Amino acid sequence: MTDAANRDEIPGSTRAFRLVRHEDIKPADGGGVRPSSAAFQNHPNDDAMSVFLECDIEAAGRSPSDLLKHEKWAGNYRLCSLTVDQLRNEFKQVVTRDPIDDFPGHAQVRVADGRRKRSQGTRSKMALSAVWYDPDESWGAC
Amino acid sequence: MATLDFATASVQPFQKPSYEILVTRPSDAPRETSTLLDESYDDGWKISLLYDLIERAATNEFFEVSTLRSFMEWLSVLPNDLPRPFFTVAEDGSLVVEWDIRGMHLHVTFDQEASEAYFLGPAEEWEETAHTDKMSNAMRAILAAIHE
Repeated sequence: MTDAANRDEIPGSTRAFRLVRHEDIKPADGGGVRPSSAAFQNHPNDDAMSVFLECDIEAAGRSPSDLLKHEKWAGNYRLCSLTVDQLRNEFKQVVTRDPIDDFPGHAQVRVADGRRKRSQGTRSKMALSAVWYDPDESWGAC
Repeated sequence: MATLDFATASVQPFQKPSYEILVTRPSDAPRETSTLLDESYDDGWKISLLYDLIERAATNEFFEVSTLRSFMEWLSVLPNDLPRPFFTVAEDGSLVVEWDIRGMHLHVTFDQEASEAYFLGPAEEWEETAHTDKMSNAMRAILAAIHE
C-alpha cells in the first residue's frame, strides 16, 4: 500500500489506540495519571509503534475495551489515543495498516522523514496530548 | 546479542560515598562493572532508582549495559536535592527519567546510542542532549519551583 493510498483510506478523525504498560504510567502534574514518553517509543524489531485503529476495530464488530480483555494484554495495560490527524499533522508520522491475528485494526506508526526513532520532544508531546480511553464511553462510527 | 543475567546484579556500597553496580553475564563472558564516583553522593532517591532500574532491566531483552554506564554517569552528577523523578525502562531498553512539576516538563531518555532531553516550561521549550547548560538551567528551574 502506498503512503498516498494509506492516507486516503484511514480517516483522520479515527482514533489510534496505543496500549500503555502499567510501568509507563506516571502521576500527572496537577493530579491523575499520564502516560510517560516511554510509551511512544518504536519497537526495536520493526522501528515502528503499534496502534489499533478505531474504525477498523468497529468494522470488525469489536470495541477498544476488547483489547484490554485480550489474553495477551489483560491486566497489564491501559489504553490511550491520539487521532490519526494528530499523528500525521502535529507529530509528522505515517500511519500504515498492518493486520495481525491477535486483534483487528492493528497499524504501525513511523516517523514521516524516515528516521528510525521519533525524537524525545515528539514522544513527550504525544504523551502530553494523549487521551485515556474510558471503557464506559459511547463511541460512534468513524 | 548476549542476554544479561541479573541474578547476581547488585548495588553495593564500597568505600562510601561511592557505589558500584555489578552486572554479570551468563557463561564466561566478561563481567561488566559501572561505578558511581560522586563525593556528594548519598542514600537518597538515586540509589532506590538504581534498584528499580536493575529490577526492570533484568526482564528487558533490549537493555544494554552501555546504556547503564552513560546513565549512571549522568545520574551521579545530578543535584541531590532534585525531587525523585518518574523512572521507567522503555520497551526498547532505553532508560527514561521524567520530572513533571508545576507546569514544567523535563523528560530525558538514554539508550545505547545517545541521550535526549526535552523541556517544556511556561516560557521555554527546547530539545537537546542531556549534557548541556540548558539541562542545568531546567533543573535549577525545577528546584526553584519546588522551593517556592
